[in-house]
Amino acid sequence: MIVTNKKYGYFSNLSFMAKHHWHGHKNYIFIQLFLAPLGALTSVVAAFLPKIVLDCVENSVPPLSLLTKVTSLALLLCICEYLRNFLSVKSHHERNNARCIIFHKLICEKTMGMDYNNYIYNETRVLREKAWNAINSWEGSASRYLELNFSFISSFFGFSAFTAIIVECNPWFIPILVVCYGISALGWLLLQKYKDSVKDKFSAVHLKLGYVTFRSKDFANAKDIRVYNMTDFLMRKIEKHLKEMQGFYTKKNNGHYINVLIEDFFKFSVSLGAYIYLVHLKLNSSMTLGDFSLYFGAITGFGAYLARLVDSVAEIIESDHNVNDLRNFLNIPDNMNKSVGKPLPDRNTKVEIELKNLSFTYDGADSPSVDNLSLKINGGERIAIVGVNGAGKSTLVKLICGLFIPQSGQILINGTDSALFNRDEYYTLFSTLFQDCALLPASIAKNICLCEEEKIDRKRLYDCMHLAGIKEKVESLPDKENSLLVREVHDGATALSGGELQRLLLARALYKDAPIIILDEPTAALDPIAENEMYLKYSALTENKTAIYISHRLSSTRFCDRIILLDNAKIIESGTHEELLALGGKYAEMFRTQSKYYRQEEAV
Amino acid sequence: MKKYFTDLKNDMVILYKGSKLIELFLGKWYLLLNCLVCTLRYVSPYITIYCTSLVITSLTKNAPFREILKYIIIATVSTFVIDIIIRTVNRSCLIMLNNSWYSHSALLSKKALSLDYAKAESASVQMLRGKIEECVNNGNGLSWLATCLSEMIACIFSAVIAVFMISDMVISKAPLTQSGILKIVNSPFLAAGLVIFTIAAIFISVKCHGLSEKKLFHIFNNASVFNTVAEYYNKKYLNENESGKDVRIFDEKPLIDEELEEKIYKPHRRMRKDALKVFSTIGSVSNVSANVLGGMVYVFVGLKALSGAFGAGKVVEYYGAITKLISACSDFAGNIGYLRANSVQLKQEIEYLDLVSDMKNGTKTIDDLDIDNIEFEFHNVSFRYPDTEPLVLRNLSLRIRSRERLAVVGMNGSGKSTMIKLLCRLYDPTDGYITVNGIDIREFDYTEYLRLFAIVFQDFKLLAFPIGENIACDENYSEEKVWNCLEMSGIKDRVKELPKQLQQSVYKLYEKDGIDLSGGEEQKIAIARALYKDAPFVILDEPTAALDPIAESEIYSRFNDIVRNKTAVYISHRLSSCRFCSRIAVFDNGTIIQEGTHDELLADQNGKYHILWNAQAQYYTKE
Repeated sequence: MIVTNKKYGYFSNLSFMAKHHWHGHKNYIFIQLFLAPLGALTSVVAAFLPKIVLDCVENSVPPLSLLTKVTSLALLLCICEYLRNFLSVKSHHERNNARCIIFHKLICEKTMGMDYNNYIYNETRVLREKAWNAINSWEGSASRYLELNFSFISSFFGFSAFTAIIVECNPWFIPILVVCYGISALGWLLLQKYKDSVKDKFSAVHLKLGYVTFRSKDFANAKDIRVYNMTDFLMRKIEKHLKEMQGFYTKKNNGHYINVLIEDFFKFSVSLGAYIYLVHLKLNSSMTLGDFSLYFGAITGFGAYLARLVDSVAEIIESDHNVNDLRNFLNIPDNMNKSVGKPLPDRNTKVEIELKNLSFTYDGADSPSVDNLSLKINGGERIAIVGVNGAGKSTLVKLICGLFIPQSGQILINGTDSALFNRDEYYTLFSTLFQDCALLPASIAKNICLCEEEKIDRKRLYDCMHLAGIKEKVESLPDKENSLLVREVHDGATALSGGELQRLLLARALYKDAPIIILDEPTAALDPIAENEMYLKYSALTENKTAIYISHRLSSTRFCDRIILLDNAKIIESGTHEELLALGGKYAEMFRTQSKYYRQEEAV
Repeated sequence: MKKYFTDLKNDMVILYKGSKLIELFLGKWYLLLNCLVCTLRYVSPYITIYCTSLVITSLTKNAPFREILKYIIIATVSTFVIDIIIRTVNRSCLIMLNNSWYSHSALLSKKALSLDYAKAESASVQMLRGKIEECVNNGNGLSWLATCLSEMIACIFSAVIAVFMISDMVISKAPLTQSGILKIVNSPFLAAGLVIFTIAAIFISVKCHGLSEKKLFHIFNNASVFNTVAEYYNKKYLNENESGKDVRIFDEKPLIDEELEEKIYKPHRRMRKDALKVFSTIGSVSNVSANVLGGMVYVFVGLKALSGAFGAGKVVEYYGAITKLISACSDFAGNIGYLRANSVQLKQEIEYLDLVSDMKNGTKTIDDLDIDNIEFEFHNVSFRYPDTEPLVLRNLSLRIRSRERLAVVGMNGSGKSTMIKLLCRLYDPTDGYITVNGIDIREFDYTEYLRLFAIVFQDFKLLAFPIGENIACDENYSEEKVWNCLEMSGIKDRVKELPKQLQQSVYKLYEKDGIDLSGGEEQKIAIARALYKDAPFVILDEPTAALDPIAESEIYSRFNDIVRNKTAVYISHRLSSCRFCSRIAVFDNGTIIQEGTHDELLADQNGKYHILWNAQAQYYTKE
């Protein structure tokens, strides 16, 4: 997998974020447009208010004039403050919606939409973790990118306004202030650099910590943890990762501390200098008290704005990197065909599958899991794949149903190369039941039909549940097929036993009713009677379908038209049960091994 | 009123417990240091205000430059020094806070690891935990309690200083009799009016804060429901390989989109909307009232100064002091609100940490038992899962003799796995009891008791750690012993081939070079883990379901080596396994319907065992 660590341009990120906000919450952008000048206006008005009062007092103006002047200015300030408060609350609201909905959705959609063989890598998970952190972090979060840019503009307005005031007093203040805050900006940039440099490590540790923490409270692991007394073992892992995280924070914290000290020092020098200068000026010129207070306010205000400019630049940079992280995850390239593909074979016809010199090696593995394998499965044929553990059965199946891309060779569906089909359309050809699965925290009906509530075909659902032998169980539940699953999420949810779970998975595969059906160990958790029923029903279940059945129970192979024996990533035997027994090869040996325990006469 | 006092009392109790927790997590000094930081932060602006006022007064009096310089230096230097103190102390506070965050998360995990199994499963417990995490992530909880307390103390200081500074304003009199507006300004009624208005503004702000915090708490409190769902998707369903396959092949995207919309986004939007209402209405009221008051103060102070009651310098001082007073009061009110809302969250936390085990935990250790000779017995045991109706086990009586090999067979849902869960006390029976060597198993210390068992569960889980650690359940393990176990479970050669051998992690969820194992390989590792534990009682629940016939046969033929002189229970749907067990118990509908050796049971033509056996054996008896 190609790990993307691309840097996107500033404007590219800006338009990316603007596009998504515009798409989701247009208000957010408008609010920012208003907020930027409003903030500057408010602080200018606030700086003028004491000047006016002092001027009035010093010049002993008529009381009515003071009353009107101050009242109107105070009123203006009041309105500005009210609007600013109102808009920032609104902006905060919209931003949180964006963070928790728009961007959450984007990440989830990418996760679901990416190629399976990208999805399974740890690198992908680290990228996703970085993307999560990017939108959820406190400082410089990607979801605040637009806001930060606007706040920069706002600071710039304020900065300009105060510059105008100061220029009137003494323009030399400006370069001095700029140099002071420039130095402190440098400090923030260095800190940002450190943050960037540890980001990958940080995300990796965060991911690990998240894994152990989640496992330690996940019910699925609870039995093993208790019986094998893993508490201390897991706690040591958690504490180790917490310590690592703490290390990052402490360093960040120290950098922060030094930077604020530098900033404080400049603030101190600037205000001391400004004070002395202004007092000197006041004593030696005709400057009014009001001007004195205005200039002093302006110099400290200017400093504050400069500091905010520096801050917002630092934050924009951090946020910019976060946007990069987010986009790097969202832009993980897919290799499979996502464009318009060849038309699929008609759902009602029998589909023929042909594998031509298929090879596949897992990343980092020495030997291939599927090695130059060729096989033709006729339309409507029932194939059994058997072989020892690790022979490559599951991998082969994953290749056939398009989860993995073969490194070489072709899969032909009715003569068309599978790579030419649209990836997602291709998946509609398959009904599958895999050995391992996870349940959705939703109703049983949704877990079987795997479609939206309104699209559920209740009749078909019940038919499939009946065929899979789980109807009675579901009907015995108070909420029937609407009973919720996953007890960690829903209080009082139904807990399914291993056998029931397998039946539910079978019902899921049947409900989909695709032209190719793949069953990987569908009876492993079933009792002997249910297993036998499954065999007897098998031909009805796979009527008119091309079927692939993987099992270690060799009894099942009787019901298949042909048996393929995989060994070491290759097909070594192929034929019917009788043919292979007669051949006396590995299959015969496996069958004898399994059957000897069932023969009365043989001593064990 | 009475309710108010009980509320107050409850809050006080929480406060007390909370402050104990602060001491535990944040250290003795945290509260004190935090108070110092807050107080300095609130008090330092007064120095600037006071000195500026002095400077302006001096300027109006044309005082010498030296005198003014004195004030300037006092103002700036003291502010600078205070800033440095604040930053430095604050840094230590942040470090303590961070440490507490870590020890706190560790404590939460530890709690989760040690919860009763039944509790670990409960969605309400998960949700409680979710609430606490949410609250910690939002910076609430313990640290927030400390912050609120410190801020409240600082606010009191600030208010006292402000009142002191403005006290002479109200009573200050103009030197000459005035007319018109200025007369009104100097009338005692107006001064009283201003005081009343100030108090009113403070009152409004206090009320608003209290109200909004209360409302917000209720609004945000529901967040944990959808956070639990979100976490399940983020950490599990949209993260793991098995679900990844289904998501794609079954095109689950529209369904998941709908689920996310219904269960996360919609409630989230509703929550935010409610919160927005509170923020924008109640927040605006207090904002406007404070600003109106500020404007009035300016007018009043300006007019009074104009009338000659005091100089221009005092204008700055009074205005500054009054605005500080208002903000101190409203902050105080806000903190009371936070504190009360927070105390509910703290209560949840204390509730979670105080979750006591419902299971009786005895004191007996397994040393009290004759390890070579242990015998379990179920006495009329009945059981139903918590919060569910149907009985899974009915009146079950079963004796498991020392060193015997017991096979348990039966249909799906007949209670076989449940029996195991009761045996290792993941649950306690609803009725009846279980004994070991005649002693009720509840009299044993639970951790001690579990030392008796090595179990391979049907739905066992490996962790994404190195293979060696998975087997030993510890970072420190004897490599030789691990290799032996791997050999016995038949996966030694496969592990030998791996580049990092025992140090190779499984899955790619934790280490990036982790390897993905097939179902059969995972099962072999799980068996090796049970072997490594070397406990006197071995339970294997469908241990060969994912194994190929050869591997299965190897496990069967090695069964006696694996179990050696231990007691073993073997649950399987593969009835071939019954052949090497000394006794078979047939479960049906939560109870045992047949018991005996394979030959005895098979002889009973009408028995369940006969049916089960033939259903499977028919395919193997003829070639």
